[in-house]
Formats: sequence, structure tokens, C-alpha cells
Amino acid sequence: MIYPGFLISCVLLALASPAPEAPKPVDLTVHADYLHVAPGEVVRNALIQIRDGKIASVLPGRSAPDGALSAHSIMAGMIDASARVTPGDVAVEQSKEVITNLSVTDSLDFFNPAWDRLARTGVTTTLIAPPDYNVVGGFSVVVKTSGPKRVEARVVTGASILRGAIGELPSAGNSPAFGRPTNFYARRPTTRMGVEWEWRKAFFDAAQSARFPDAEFEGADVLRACLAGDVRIFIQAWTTADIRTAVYLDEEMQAEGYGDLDIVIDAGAEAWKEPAFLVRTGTPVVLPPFPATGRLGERAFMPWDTGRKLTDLGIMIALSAHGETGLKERLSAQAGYAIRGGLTFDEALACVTTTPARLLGVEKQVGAVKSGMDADLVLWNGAPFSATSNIVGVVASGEVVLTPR
Amino acid sequence: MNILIAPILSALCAVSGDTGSLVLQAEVVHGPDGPIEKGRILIRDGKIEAIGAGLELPEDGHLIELEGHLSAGLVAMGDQTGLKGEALDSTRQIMDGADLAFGYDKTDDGWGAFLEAGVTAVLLTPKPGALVGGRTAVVKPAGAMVQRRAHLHVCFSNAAFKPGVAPTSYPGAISMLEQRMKTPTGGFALLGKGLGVLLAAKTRAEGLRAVAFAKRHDLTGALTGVSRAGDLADELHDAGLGVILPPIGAAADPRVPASAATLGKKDIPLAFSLGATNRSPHALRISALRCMKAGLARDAAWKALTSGAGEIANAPVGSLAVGRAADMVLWSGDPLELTSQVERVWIEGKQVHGDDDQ
Repeated sequence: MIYPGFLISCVLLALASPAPEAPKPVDLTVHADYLHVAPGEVVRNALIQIRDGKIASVLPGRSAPDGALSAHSIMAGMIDASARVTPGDVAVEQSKEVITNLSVTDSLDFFNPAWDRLARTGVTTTLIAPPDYNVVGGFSVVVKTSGPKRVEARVVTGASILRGAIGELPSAGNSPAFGRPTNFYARRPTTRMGVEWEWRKAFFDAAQSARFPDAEFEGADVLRACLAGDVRIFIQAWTTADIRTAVYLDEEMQAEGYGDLDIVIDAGAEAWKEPAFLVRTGTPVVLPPFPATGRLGERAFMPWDTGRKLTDLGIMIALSAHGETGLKERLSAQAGYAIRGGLTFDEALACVTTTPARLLGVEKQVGAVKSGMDADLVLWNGAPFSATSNIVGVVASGEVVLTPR
Repeated sequence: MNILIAPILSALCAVSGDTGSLVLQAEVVHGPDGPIEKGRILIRDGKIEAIGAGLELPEDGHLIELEGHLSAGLVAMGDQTGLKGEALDSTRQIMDGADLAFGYDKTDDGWGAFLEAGVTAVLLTPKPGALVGGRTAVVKPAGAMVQRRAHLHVCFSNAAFKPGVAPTSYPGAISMLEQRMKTPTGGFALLGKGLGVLLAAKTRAEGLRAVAFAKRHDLTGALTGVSRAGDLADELHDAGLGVILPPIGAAADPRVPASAATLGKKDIPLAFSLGATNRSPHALRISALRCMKAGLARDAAWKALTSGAGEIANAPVGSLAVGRAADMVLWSGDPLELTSQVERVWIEGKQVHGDDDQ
């Protein structure tokens, strides 16, 4: 016997609490025998569910459902903090040697097939910097390597990162003003010491203009933000002399009471030579691609155990392939070389995922396979970075850009 | 082949002179509202006074009955004929006050080829090589100046950069243009006040930056030089800009005419450029036909050669509308068939090319 009162209650209940909305179905499911969630964190037989370009859930101990993409090993999409996919010299304004009010963003070409090639090597996030023909070249930008071919769809909001260089390149095109100079390349710097002078003068003038408003100049606010630590500076410095100059610059600004620069050394091939400088200022380094012959840009020398040496000293390092996509040059190969040079697998994984994510200020969005983060995955047919394994699939923001099928 | 019904008034070309009006009748007249079978067009003082199928002959008029199709003259965009070496001033990067009209030479030998191809209006543009190369002009081949200042020509391609002169980069160029837009003077101040903008670019990324610039400042005009502008159709539509397509030859990448078809589907105003002084003006029709093969609607292709181009050129050309100058072409057949040839050309009612066997 059913009481009428019970029936009424049921109807009222049904009216009062409508059935909860069914969760939106996942867009993509990917299965891994070994999922490297983050360095040091492995999940066996993991099922990764992806919705709206993000990782919806990671379920351990599951078997691969029919139709799911699957791979032996899966790790987060890699991050190259020095990817160098620009249209070249037209990406940096050279009419002044110190440019702080422009961004490389206005020069990016997402129709360039180099982006797709990069994405297919498992690199899903990059830092793109203005090329180093200036002392200070302007702002860099963090972008995804795949997605709609529009700037606004590709930019990832991270740290504000200014780009500059110490070394030969910023002075390479300049000449002294003999005779009648007909263009602006008749200017400083023409030497390494000139480059160093430009850096110090820029920060000195910016600091002074805070006290003397008449001395204010365009872009000084950015330099002051650097001194306040609000804007990070990536400085290309291949050789140990140039790395030392960068560190001295930071220490001089502190000694003068102007501020404390947040410097990252990019392409720091010779960071192993005088690592004490980097240790005492806590300066991270982005290493350039490992060279076949030892010699790199500006004749810098980088042995293959550089990663091991710097890691042992507690220096934070990231690896970079400088945007190269060849089998022997790509970022995954660099991680393999670093392992051959003594890094552990987890250290190498950090160097291409979590560490660059931190350097770019995007660690909450990319660099690990965790719920809520971007669905950027690299699928391997064996252990990642092993010489006998290959990247067989890549998922970027939930879209399959390289299919293992 | 042309049959004269009315009395011959002059031994030479038929002129709607001071003495009266002229009525032309053709098998098909391509009017502003579409083709008219056995259409007639009444011309007085060099202007179109009426157009229709059953126009009556005024008392002071005479009628010429023509075999073939009568249409508005074609409009060629982006040419430098007659400008000789003066289509680019290399001394400055921004020349917003410079008018190409001052370089127009109507006696140039090159204009004959335009008339032979049925082109009666030409948009003169500066050669790429400066950030702002000057103001464009619309002229008639060997004839009048129609529009002295049509657009400000702004170059977003890397052709604008010269070594040792600011700007050297895309970000620098955009920053420099934004500075000028903050407190506009000269040509910048005239933008949107009768002066359009012609956004020159080559790659699609450059095109996107150019369109974004126009959108930010609410500018009207067109994008020119991007061969696959179809990929930017949404942005172009949003910004209300037209597109001047580069010449599309028989050997062009098939994605280029397909891109034009995409633009046509989005109703984006189109026109065709010649893109080089030494290119035959016949390239205009070849470009249009190539696009039709790739899916561009016939009406859109025809518009791109005539009235649509006139609108993009910011000048009253390319249409047989009442009140317009009588710039007309008699074709041996359908003008959108490559086998059709130009028989006669009139500019402002005066025959300037073709047989005079009336």
C-alpha cells in the first residue's frame, strides 16, 4: 500500500530538486601504462580525461577503454624557454639599442609551419623573445605552439619577461661614426664593454629619473619595474665572461640601492665554468642545445655533464632546443643528452616541463598532467627520452596534433 | 558589324556632344542592377542620363545599335603606370602628406594597353618601401583625374623596412603608427574624413596586424597584397574592410583563388590589382575568371572588376549608374568569357578606343 502522502512528497521532492545536470561528456580520453604526472610522480595504468582543452581527471589503475588513445608512457607537453620562432631581425626594433616599450608579440606569425613542426616534437609551450641584435630588445611572450592562428588565442599569461643580451651580437652591426654617418648603426656599442656600459646606463638613468622627473625617458618605467623585481629579465649570455657581467650588473644595482634584478641567464653554455656567481645570486640558467662538437654560439664550450654539475650546485636549469625540430636536435633529444651527461630521468623531465614553467610564471597552467591544467600531453612508445623510444603522439590543449594511430 | 540606324553626325567617333544626346543599344547592357537584354543607355554631356530596356530616343538624340555586350569599364587597382620612378619617395618613412596625383602622367605610352583591355579607371598606389608611402589617386587612362586623394597607403609588410632607418621591425612600425594616430596630423587627420586607408601586406600575419590596426581606429578601406586573405575573412568582415586581390595567373597556387571564393561567400568587397607596371591589364579578367573557377560567384567576380572596385577605390567609377561618367566598354561577347574581346571603349562619352566605322 502506498500512502497518498508519500506520493505527494515524491512529486514535491521531484519538483523542488530538479535532477542534477549530467556532467558534460569528456572530449578525449587517453590511456597510459606509465603516466609521468610530474617529475617523481608516476601513475600506473592511468586514464586521462580531457574536457574543453583541460585535464578533467586522472584515474589510476584503469584499463584502456575502446577507442581511447593509448601509449606506453605519457608526460606533460614540453616547454622551451628559448624557442626562437620569429621572423628574424624584423622582430626586434633596432633603431635604439635599448628598447623596453615594445613586445615581440607584434611580429609573430602563427601561419608559419614551424609552429606545427615544433608541436609535433612534443613542445607545446614556448617563450618567444625578440632576437638579440639589441642590448635590450623588448618584451618576450609565452605562447602555445598549436591552436587557432591568432595571437590572442595563443598567448599564455605568465610573468612579464624583458629580453636582452650580453656578448657579441648586440654590438655586431654597429660602427663608429667616421665621416658622415648615414644611419643609426653608427653608434655604441661596438664592443663587449660597450654592451655592458649600455646595460648599466639604462638602469642608472631609470633609477635617477625616479628622483629627477625631468630626466624621465620612454621606457624608464619598465626598467624601474625590473629593479623592483616585478619584471623578469632573460639575458642571453653564452660565455662565462658574459654570465659574470650579468651577475655583476645585478649585484651592482643592489649595492647602489637601486633594486634587485630578477635575472635568468639564457643560452648560458659556460655556466659550468664559474658557477659560484650563479649560486651566490640564485640565478637560473636556460641551457642551449647540446653541441655535437662542444662549441656553441660565440665559441662558448658546453660539456655534456653541464646539467649534472649545475644541478648538484643547486642552480635551477631548464633545457632548450632553440626551436630545432630535427630528430637529433629537438627538445626531447636534449633531455636525453642531459641524462647521458648525468642527470636522472626526473631531473631531465623537470628541465623540460616544471622548471621552465616556473621560469615563465605559468606553472599553474602547464608543465604537469594534473586536473585543471592544460591538456598538453606527449605520448611515447617506450620510456621517455630513451634513445630507443619515439614520440608517437602529441595532444595540445586537448587537440590531437600528432596521432599515434 | 555594328549597324548604324540613326544619321551619322560626325565622321569620327560618336560623341554625345554639346549638340545632343546619344543612345547606345547593345545586345546586353550590364547595368547597375544586372544585365538588360536589348538595353539602351542615354548619354548627355559625357554622363549617363538614363539606362533601361525601352528608353525612348530624345528628339535631339541619335541611336547607335551595337552588337555585343556593353558594360562599365573595368577598374584596375594598385598600379604605377605613368609614375615612372616616382612611385616611392625613399627619403622618408612616413609621407602622409604626399599625393601620388602629382606624379600622374596622362601622356604615358602605357595607358593604351589599359584601354585595349577595357580598363577605364586605375587606382595609382605607391610602391611598397615606406611605412606610409603617400596618398593614392584614381585616374582614367590617358584622361581625367577622378580622385586626387583616395587612401592613405600604409605598409604593414617587411618591404617597409630599410636598413639603418627607423622602424626596423614590425613592433616598431606599429608603435610608430600608433604614435601618429594619438595626435593625428596631415594625412592621418584626414582618415575617416573622406580619406580611406589602404593596408598593404604580404603574409597573412601581416594582414592580421593591418586589419587589427584599422579596427582599433575605426578606419575604412581595404587590405591589399595578401594572396590568401580568405583566412582572415572573419576579421575583415568585423572590421568592414575590403580586399584587393593580387594578380592571379593561370599558374597561381590553387589556394589563392579558393581564398578569394571564401571572401566572396562572406560578402567582403573585392577588387583586383595589377601589382606591377609591366603586367598586362588583361590580367584583371584572368584573375577574376580564375577565382570563378574556384567558386567565386559570377556576380561577385564581375563586381570585383567594376562597381565593387570603384567603391574600394573610393571614387565614382565602375558602374553604369545614372549620373556617372559614361565610361563604357563594348565587348564582342560576355565580358566574363576569355574569348570575348574589347571592341570599343568610351571615356566620358567619348570613344577612345576601337573601330569608328559607324
